[in-house]
Amino acid sequence: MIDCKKFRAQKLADPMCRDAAVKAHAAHCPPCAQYAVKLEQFEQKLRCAAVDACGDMPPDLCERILAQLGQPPATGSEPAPRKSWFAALLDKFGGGGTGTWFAPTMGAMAMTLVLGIAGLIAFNLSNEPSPMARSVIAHVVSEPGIFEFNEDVPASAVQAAFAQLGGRVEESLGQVRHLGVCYVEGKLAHHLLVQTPDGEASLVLLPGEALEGGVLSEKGFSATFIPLPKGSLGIITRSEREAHAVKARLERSVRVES
Amino acid sequence: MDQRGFEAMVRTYSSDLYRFAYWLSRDKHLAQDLVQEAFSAAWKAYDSLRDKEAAKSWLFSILRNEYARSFQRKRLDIQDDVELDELSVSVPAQGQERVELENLLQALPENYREPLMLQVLGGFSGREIAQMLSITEQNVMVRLTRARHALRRLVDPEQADADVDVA
Repeated sequence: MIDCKKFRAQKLADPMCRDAAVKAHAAHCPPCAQYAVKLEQFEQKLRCAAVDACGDMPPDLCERILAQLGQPPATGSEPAPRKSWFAALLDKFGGGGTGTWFAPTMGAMAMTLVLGIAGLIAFNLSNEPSPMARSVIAHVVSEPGIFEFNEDVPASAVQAAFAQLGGRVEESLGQVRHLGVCYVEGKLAHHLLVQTPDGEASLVLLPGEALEGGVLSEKGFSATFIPLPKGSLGIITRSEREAHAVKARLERSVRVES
Repeated sequence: MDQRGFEAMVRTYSSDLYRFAYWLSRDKHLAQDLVQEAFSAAWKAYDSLRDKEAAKSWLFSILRNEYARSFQRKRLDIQDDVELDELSVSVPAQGQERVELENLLQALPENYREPLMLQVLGGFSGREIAQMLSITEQNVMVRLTRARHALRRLVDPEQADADVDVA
């Protein structure tokens, strides 16, 4: 049974909450039941005010939306199956022309079987993807239009965006097809779409914590991070192999401002 | 491609999206543009929407991102911790309460107004709002509590006295 304080806190956060504990408390506590009624009345007024302020949606808006969908949509790519850590590791050993900065470490680990096994475990732990990788993938999934852009973004704008997080682009990243701002984790971040020689990559310049770690693959995308002095560079690609390759490329291209 | 399904989605959610877009942008014309842009982006990626049950929150998230893009704000660290103390209006005259509420909603800092509108207009749960805003559910609940208390304190101070400590 919840007490009056918890009841009121729950109702104030969600006046229409009708869960069993809330109902049970209201049933035996008349002052709180009265409080809930008044709060629900206030909620009705709030909703009316919120709806009235917008006015009616223009009646032709739906038709305009449907009319603009003349072109067939791009076919969504099938999500890449998530690889096990072992499969990912085999990819790294295989190389495939996508050598990463981790490669020397991996080679050393493969020298002996015993050390190799221990190394595999150690690698898997140290290469744990940042929890934020899930957030940036979710962000890209919610912003499907990003891959449609084909603008010609000036290098100075790209440089300015990296400079905000203390980074400097020393070698071309590839063709930057878009640079905009988006909300990620409640903060405004610069979001780029870059056509690199290793494939298409969505980059997020995320202010705040310097994140690092391995690659997370889910929902058809793979994500990883490069730490910067004032935040992180999130790399989101359509495959794990591309994520490693683009990361290696960016680690060569982006330097920290001194 | 399920064109009919998409059309049904447009007809079902466009007015909810329009209202939410209005409260993001506080501009009716921009709100219309945002809804159009959001559906355009959604159409291009409709095949990637695996769970049709999640269509509504997916559309709202797309619209938020279209808004962020259109707004093109220069600063990255915007009003994350704006407090509600400065929120004020004159005491509402009889019959003007709704207008005052509208004005107060307009004046509410964005980090409080946005989750409130997602709940009031979108009908989303705390967990869904948390996913959309990429913040914790607890943080969502705190923002909703504080936003409502701030509004009640100004519109109906007597009732607001009955609110729990929301500090």
